[in-house]
Amino acid sequence: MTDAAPPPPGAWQRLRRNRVALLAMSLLAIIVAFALFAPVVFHTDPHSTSGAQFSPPSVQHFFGTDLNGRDVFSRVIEGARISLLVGLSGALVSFFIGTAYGLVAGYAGGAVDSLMMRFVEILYAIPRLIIIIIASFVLDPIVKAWLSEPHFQITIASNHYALNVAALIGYSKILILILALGLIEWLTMARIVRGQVLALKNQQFVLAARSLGQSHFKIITRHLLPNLLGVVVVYLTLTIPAVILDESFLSFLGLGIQAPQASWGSLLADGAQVINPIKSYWWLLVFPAAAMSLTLVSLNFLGDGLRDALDPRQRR
Amino acid sequence: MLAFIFRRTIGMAVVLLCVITLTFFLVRLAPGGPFSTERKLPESVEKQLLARFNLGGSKWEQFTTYLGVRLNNSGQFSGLLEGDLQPSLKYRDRSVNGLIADSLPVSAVLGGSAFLLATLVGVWLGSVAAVRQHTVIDTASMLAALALISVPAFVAGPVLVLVFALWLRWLPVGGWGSPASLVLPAFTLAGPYIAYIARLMRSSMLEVLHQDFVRTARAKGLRETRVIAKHVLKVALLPVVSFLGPLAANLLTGSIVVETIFNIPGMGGFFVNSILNRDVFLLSGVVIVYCALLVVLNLFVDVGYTLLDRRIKLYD
Repeated sequence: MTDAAPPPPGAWQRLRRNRVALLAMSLLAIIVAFALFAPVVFHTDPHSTSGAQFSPPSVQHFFGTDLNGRDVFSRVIEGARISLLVGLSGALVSFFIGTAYGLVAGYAGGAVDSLMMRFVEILYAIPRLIIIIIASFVLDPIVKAWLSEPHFQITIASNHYALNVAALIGYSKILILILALGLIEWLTMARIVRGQVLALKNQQFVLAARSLGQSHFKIITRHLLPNLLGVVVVYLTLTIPAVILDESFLSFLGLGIQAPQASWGSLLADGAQVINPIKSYWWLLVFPAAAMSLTLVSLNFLGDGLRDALDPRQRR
Repeated sequence: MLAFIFRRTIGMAVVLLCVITLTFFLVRLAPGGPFSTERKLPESVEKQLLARFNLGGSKWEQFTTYLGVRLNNSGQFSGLLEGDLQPSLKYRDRSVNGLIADSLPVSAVLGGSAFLLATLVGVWLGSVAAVRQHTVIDTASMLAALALISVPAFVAGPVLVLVFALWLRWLPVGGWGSPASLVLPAFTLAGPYIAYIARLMRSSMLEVLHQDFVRTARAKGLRETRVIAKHVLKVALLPVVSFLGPLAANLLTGSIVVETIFNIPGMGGFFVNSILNRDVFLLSGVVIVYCALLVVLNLFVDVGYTLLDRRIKLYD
């Protein structure tokens, strides 16, 4: 494990010199802009069906239409919204769990540390997919019950939600996916944070803080956490594509986002299904694949660039 | 050495037991049971069915019977310890042993080819990139690697089918049996891992290339190829080797995506389908196979480490 260090000065300059990372960032900005604003600009409905089955890409339907005559462009956009939302929130959930877990394990050390890390090891030894699927099954009734309880509208939701409780239950699958993925993806984050804490906690500024009588809580929040952030943020950007990948994987298997909603994974599953030797509706496959691959490539390039910029050992 | 292997074996058994326990109970957290169908069975029938499969008693009784340390309903010890993985609850009249015996070889052949492909191509690509650092070859192969990591199997698979099977007609669309049918799935499976290993190999090789013993070897007047082949590769391979254990366990037990896309009768599908069917015995069976492979291969990796680098001591 490398010595933990705060982001070195000039990190932003180094990132800006990295043309690939910059390109990735602009691509991401475009994709996010499309996800946010395309439904407003183009007035398309991803769920409205029409008689135009499997029509190839045209001016009217940029990406063609699918089996039910739905516009593939607006479905890809809906997929982008859902995939990005799940990726970002799932990564954030895993970020909180992983950081807390790693901090406690690394700071406590000794028996607590080895016990906590043994547990991580055991979870690593079970195929991740299995845990995610079971978690989503377990969470399903809990989340639905929680959403349908009336107090939810009063305490948490704004007017908007209170009017659309039924619609929100329709989106419960997204919430379930976020929770299930976030609850599993923290393992590597915990390992990384723990390693950093082990390296940090015997450094002099931490020892000084301790000998001055600061509380454990203060040492963790004031001294350890700020020094961890660089590494953690880098890993967070790399977790987002991982979560997006897992979400679309589940949706591809039919266990994630349910029709009529679309995610990139479920669109790809539809696209893969209609590939046959007689007639290939290539646009059903190519456009979602391109959208998803571009997003993942950009996120990975950005994460890589951030790591190079923040990790002084990589400086050339 | 023997003492180390002995200690590790005990540790492995503990991890395996924890994983089995966790899986056995985790899947029961999910709502629904193995015999709950659309049409609800009469309670007495369901009870009888459960009792027939030794699932009637308390959770603890079920678990110990499964392990084979408690007499089952036919008055025998017949469980995991005796090598009996129980009958499948979904595929009637099939034992889990039989299902795994039929499908594991298929997955192992496919996974083995993907494993070889990933290791050989990845190591080669990574070393070339490292030796030619800062050249076009380096940049291009690393960009390609990151792109490859971002394209999931369920995108790459259908696209490869579309191009090589449907448009060019060079290879079969799917199926199992001929060597030609192995090509596309093996590449689909290996793709991201080729990229991952190449990146790992490159960074570790760059680190080694700047070490003193390499300079000494060069100063002795050794030819560059010999320096790389005899001195650098051996040490630079270490991080790759430590990744090979989990990689092999992952690949050999099959992938549901690749098996679905290419219609291959492998084991990967069981991981997901057994959860969907709440087929406790099948799920536990495949998890045991996976986990056993993982811990055994990790032991091999650790032993392989000492052979590659004499500086590493596994035991005090």
